[in-house]
Amino acid sequence: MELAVVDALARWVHVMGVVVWVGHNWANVVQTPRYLRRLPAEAEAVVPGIAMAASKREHGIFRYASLVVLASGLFMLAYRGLVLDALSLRGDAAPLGLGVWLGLTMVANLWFVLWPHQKKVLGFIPASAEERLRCTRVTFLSSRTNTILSIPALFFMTMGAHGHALF
Amino acid sequence: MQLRLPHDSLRGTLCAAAVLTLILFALARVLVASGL
Repeated sequence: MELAVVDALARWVHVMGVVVWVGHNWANVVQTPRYLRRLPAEAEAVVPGIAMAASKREHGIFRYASLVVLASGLFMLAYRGLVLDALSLRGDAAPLGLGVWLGLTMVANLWFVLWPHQKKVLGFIPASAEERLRCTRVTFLSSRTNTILSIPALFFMTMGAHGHALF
Repeated sequence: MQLRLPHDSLRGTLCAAAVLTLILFALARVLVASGL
């Protein structure tokens, strides 16, 4: 195997490692302190309300983070004049374009499949017990789908820019 | 007894991701080679 191929694959592993590692840090540095700060002295009396507020904030943060990723990604494509080439999977932009389509699918899955059902599961909007149970299955599959898609998405995002030896 | 769904495992997730990555990788190589 060419060393350039190993180098390209190392970049994919590198970014995935960063996601796991820094994701852990961010969960502790950003998520935990911000949510715990909402707890009042007599937390037990108002636990349901606190849990709901913390849950809404947590889901809001990751939902809107997806839009930050989408906007910054589209900006980088536009800056390089690659939007149409990537979206139409044209020539050398095809690998990156596949990553873009995977990313767009993940954003759509999050906002249009997971979120409408998650609202019911978490009790943000009223729903019957049966409906909430049905929605848990949808949110599970939707979430798992995005986890699966994230791995090839990271591959094509990184390889599209740095993995020419592979293609 | 714990209900364990077919896809409810890290191994299943990683296998699905690996298969999808390989299929799309082959597609990407074809697209780049064709130069369309």
